[in-house]
Amino acid sequence: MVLSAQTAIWIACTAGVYALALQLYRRANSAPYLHPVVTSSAVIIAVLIGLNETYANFQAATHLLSEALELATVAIAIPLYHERHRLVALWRPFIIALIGATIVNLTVAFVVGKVCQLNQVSLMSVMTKSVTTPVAIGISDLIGGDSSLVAVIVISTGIIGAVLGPWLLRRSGVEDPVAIGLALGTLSHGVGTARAFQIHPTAGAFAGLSMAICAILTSLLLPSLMTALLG
Amino acid sequence: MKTLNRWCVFALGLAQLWIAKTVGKAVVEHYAIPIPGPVIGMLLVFGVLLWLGRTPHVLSQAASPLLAHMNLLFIPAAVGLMGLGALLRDHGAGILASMLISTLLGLWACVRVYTFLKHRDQQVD
Repeated sequence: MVLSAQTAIWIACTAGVYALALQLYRRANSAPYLHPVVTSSAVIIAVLIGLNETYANFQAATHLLSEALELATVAIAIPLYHERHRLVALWRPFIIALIGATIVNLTVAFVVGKVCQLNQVSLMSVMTKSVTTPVAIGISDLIGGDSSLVAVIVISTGIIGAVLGPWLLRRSGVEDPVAIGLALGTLSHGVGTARAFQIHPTAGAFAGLSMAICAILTSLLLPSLMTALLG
Repeated sequence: MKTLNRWCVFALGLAQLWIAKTVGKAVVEHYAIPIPGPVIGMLLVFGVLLWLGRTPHVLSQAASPLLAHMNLLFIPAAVGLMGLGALLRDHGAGILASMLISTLLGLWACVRVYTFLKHRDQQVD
């Protein structure tokens, strides 16, 4: 990996935009539509288009951030360790709800995609939507999706869950941090986990665990589910 | 001096996370498991912490800022939206509908099943 001027500039630029987006988000009392990933990416896309810069260059320059994301994934082990007692007590409803939600999620995504007459590549890409990006790309390669579309779909799903999830859960009267974390981590992987950490440390830890189990489950389940649904 | 010390602790913690990630990746490659290396790395660290019985200061110092600012790390992937104009023009609405409906129903099913089972378990106990 070369630490070029481009790398330094684009990472500084991304971090700067993120810092401002975070300020805005906090000032607006965490208004869902101002989620920092949404506002920061909108600004950066505008800047890239304005400078006539390609996404490939930006992606290469900010590779270090994606590396750091992998370390952040490992780091979830720490809050998880703090929740070990609750994990032992609640593992049964936790696992069953996770499996149930994953099946509902995948089946509904498939049916709606079929109804909307998505082409094969888009449909296969949508099916990977709720697993964390590196796994989603791996699965998409197995079932025939497009990896750049998958990356965007995964992030968008994360944002949808992080933005609408807490609202939906509050409306349904759910206050249990374990339930909130479970739902956000299962349906919205890392972005949902980041949101869950803002709500409650316990919610964040369980979201991280749900994200990991959902990734494992989906990579085991999806290829055979696709055969069943298509066959 | 204090700041320098804090940075060293942070760097040391990052190095530990990096080792776990690298071991995770090696395991995945060696056994051809269809699961990402960092997820395995996370489970490895979880196992080590259970064995240690505590969280080393160095590790939690590195973990907190990473977890607090995870959103920053998603931005490069989200910017990828800019390269997908043509595909999204044709299928964007369908993709959005499929994502939106399945995510909301999934969230709903998840909390319903969990709350139901948890209450039932508590009544049995």
